Amino acid sequence: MSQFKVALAGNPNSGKSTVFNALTGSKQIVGNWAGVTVEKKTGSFSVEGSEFNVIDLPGIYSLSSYSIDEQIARDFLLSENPDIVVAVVDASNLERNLYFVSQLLEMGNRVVIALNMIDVALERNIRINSMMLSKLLKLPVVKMVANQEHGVKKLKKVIAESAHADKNILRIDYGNEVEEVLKKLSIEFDMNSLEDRFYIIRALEGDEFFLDMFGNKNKELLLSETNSLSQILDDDLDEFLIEKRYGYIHGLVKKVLHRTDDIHSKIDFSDKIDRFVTNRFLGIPLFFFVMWAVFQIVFTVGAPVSDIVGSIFDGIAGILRNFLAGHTPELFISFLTDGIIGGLGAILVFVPNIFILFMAISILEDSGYMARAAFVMDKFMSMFGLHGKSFIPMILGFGCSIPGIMAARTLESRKDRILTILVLPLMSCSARFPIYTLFVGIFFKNYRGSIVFSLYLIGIVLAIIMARLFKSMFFKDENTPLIMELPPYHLPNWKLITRYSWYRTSMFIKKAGTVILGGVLVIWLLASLPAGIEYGSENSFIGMLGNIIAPIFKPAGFGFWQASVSLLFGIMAKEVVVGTLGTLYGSFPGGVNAAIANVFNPISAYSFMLMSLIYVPCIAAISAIKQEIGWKWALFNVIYTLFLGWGIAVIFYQVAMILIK
Amino acid sequence: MELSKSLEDYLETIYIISEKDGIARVKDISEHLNVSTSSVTNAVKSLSESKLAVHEKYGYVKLTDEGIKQALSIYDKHRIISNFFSKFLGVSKNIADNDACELEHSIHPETYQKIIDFFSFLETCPEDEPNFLKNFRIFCDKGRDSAEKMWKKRCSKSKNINAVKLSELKIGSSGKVLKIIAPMRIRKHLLALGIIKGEKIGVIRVAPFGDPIDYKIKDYHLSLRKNEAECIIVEEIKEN
Repeated sequence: MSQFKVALAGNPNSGKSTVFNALTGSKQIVGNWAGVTVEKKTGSFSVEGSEFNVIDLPGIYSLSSYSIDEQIARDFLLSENPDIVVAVVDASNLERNLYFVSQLLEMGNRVVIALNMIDVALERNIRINSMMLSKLLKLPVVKMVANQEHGVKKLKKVIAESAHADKNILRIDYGNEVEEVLKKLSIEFDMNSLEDRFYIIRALEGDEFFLDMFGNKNKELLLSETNSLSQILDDDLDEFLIEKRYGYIHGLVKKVLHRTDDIHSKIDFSDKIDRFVTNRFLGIPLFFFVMWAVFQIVFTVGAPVSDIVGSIFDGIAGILRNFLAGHTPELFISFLTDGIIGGLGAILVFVPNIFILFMAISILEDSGYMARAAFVMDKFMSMFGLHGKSFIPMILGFGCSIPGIMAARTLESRKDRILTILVLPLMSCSARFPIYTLFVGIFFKNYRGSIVFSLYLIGIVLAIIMARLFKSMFFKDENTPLIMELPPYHLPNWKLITRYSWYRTSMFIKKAGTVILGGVLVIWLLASLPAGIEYGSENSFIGMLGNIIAPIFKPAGFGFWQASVSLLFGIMAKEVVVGTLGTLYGSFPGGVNAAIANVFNPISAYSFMLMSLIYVPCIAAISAIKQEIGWKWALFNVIYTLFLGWGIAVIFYQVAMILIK
Repeated sequence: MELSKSLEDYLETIYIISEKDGIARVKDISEHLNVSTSSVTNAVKSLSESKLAVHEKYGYVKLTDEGIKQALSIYDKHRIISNFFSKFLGVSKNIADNDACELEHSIHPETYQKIIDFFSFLETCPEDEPNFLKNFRIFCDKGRDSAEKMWKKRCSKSKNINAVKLSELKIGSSGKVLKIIAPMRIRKHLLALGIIKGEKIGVIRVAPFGDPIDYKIKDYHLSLRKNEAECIIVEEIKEN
C-alpha cells in the first residue's frame, strides 16, 4: 500500500482542526513538535488503497519566521517535503486566507484548497465561484462545511487524485525593478528554478532564516540589493513585496467572489452578539457571570454522577472486605480496600466534574467567546503586566496547569510567557477541585458553589497581584503588543469538543492510575509500617514524618500530622491530598468525612483549602515549567508559592479567629 | 619607515610647538610631554637618525620637510578622530582629545579612511545636517521613548495633512492605511494580516476599559491595543 504525507495548513480560526478531525476520525495521535511544546496532531485515513498520514500544522498567518508557530510550519514544509498540502481556507474571509495560500504556492507545494465555512460565507451574502478559483490557481478546490462533515468525502478523493499531480508553482510579478534584481541575482547565484526564486525573494524581504541560507558573502549582496531597491521604490522592500502579493490576491478575489447584497449589508450575527458580549458596561459583568455559571454547572450537573461513582467504590470495598474477612490477613484487606480501592475511588469520583469542566472550557474556546474574553480583559490584565492572551492559558489552567503552561506558547514575547507561566499555577486546576469538594461537602453544604468560586477568585486575584509584582521586579520597561483576531461566533462542534474533553479526562484517569495510585500506595505503606502499629496512627512512619512538619502549620489552624503529610504528598499530584486524607482517615469510625468534621472547623478548613490552592505546583507542572522557561524559574516558582501559600493561610486563619471572638 | 608610538608623539609635539612659537626647544618639548629633557634629547637623536628632525645649537629642534609631512599626517588624524567623537557622537572635548591621542597611532587605515569618507559625505550631502544626525541627537538628549513619540508625530504631520493615528479615529469612522511605523516584528505581523497601504480599516468598538479596540479590516475583526493602533498612520475617510 502506498503511503503519502499530507500537511494541513491554514490561518487560525479557519476550521483547520475541524477539517483534521473530519479527515482522520478517531485515528489521531497528539504529541509535541520536536524540541518545543507546541501540540502536534497527526492522524491518518485511507482511500482508494493508499494511506494518507495527515499532520496538522500550527495555524498561522504567514510563512515568515516571526513566531515559533511560523517556524515550525516553515521547517516542516521545507524539510519534510509533504506530498500534498491541504490549505484550509475560510470562505467568509477569503482575501487574508488566500494570502497565506499564495505563500504556500510560491514555495512550490502541491496544494489542495479546502474552501471551508461556505455556510458562514453564504449567510454574509458572499458567493464564491470555486470552479473559477480552481482554474485561476490551477489547483483543486473543494467546498466544505467541515463541522457538518460536508465535503469530507470529496476532499479525501481529491487528495488521493492529486498525490501524483504535477507541482504548480505560483509566480507573482513583482514589477520591473524587483524582477530585474531577481534576474540578476539568479544568474549571480546560479539559482534558476521557481523554488530558488522563492528563496531569493524571501531573503530580499529580510527574513533572517532565508538570508542565512546564502552564506555571509551573498548575504551582504542581498542586503545591499534590498537597500538599493527600497531607495528606488521609495518604500520598504518587504512592505512593497507584501503589497504586491496582496495586490495579486485582491485581483484574484475580485474575479471569484460576488457579494449579493452589498448596499444594504446587514449587521451579521456575530456583530449582534458582540454588541452585548464586548459592551463597555456589560462586557465585564458578563464575563464574570460566564465564569461563575461554568462552575455552577460543573457542580450541579457533576455532583449526582460523582455520588454514584463514589458509592460504587464504597460498595466494591465493602463487598471485598466481607468476602475476604476471616481467611485473609487484615493487613492485606486493608491494603486492598483502604489503599487501592479507597485511594483510586477518592480520585475517580471527580472524573464527571473534570469532564464537564473540560467540556465547558472547550465550548468557550470553540464558540469564539475566549477571544472576546481576552478582548474584554486585556486592559485589566495589562495593568498587571499580563497580556489579554495570557487569559487563555490561565483559563486552561483551571483544567490543568500543564496544557495552560503549554498554551502560553501563543504569547509571542518571552516576558509575557514567563509572567504568565509563573502565576499560572495559582489558577485553581481540576486536581485541586477534589480537595474543595471534600471540605465544602463537610463544612459549607449550603454554599458549595459560592465557596469554591471564592477560592477560584482568590487564585485569580493572587495571580494578578503576583504578576504585577514580578513584572516590576524582573521586566520593568518591557511592553508587548496585542494583535488578535476576533473570529466569528459559531456553534461548537460537539464531536470535536467531546473528543477533546475525553482526551483530557483520560489523561487525568491515566495519571490517577499511575502517579496518583503509586503515591497513595507509598502512603499506605508508610502508614502501615513499622509492623505491628495501628494503621495510620501517629506511630507509623508517616505519622512521625507528619509530626515533624505539623508545627509549621499550627498558626494556619491545621497543625496535625495528617494534614501536613497530605500536603507533602500532594506535591506529587494535588489529587493525592484527598487520597492521602482518605487513606489516613479511612479507618476512622464514620470514614474520612467524619474524621475531617472532627478535626477541622470551617475556618481551618478554608485555611487548608487556601494552602492547597496556592502552595507548590505538582511535580508534572514543575517539570513543564522547567521545560518551557528553564529550571531557575521553575525553582523560583516552587519557592514563592510555598511562602505565599503559608502566609495567606496563616493570615486568613488568624484574622478570622480574631473576628469570630 | 615605521615610527614608535612615542616617537610619533614627539614628532607631533615638535610640530605643534614650532607652529605656535616659530621654533621648538628641548625644554618646551619636555614640559609639553611631561618628560625629562634627557629623554627628549634621546628621542630627537632617533628622529635625526631617521632624517625627520635636526638638533641645532642651543637646544633648538627643527623638523625636516619629511618630518613636517609625517607630523602633519599624525596631527590630521588626531584632529579628525577627535572631531568625529566630539561633533557626531557628542563625546566631551577633553575625552575626545584623549581618545584621539591613543587612536591616532593604532587606528587601521581602512577605518580612518571611512571616517574621512564620512566627513566628505557630510560636505557633499544636500541637507546641512542629515536627518539621522538630528534624530540621533534628540535620541541622546530626550531618551528613546520621547524621541519615538516625536517622530511618530512628525511622520503623521509631514506625510499628509489629513493623516492621523488609527488610535485617534472615533467609533464608526474609518480610515485608509498610509504607513505602519512600528518595530520590525510588529510591522511584519500587521502587514501579513493585510494592513497595507490603501486598505480600508473601520473602528467597530472599544473594550470596556477603553483598550483594546476592535477594528474591521477586509472581512474580519482584528483587535489592537492603543499602542499598536498608534503605529498605524491612516487618512480619515470622510463619509457622505
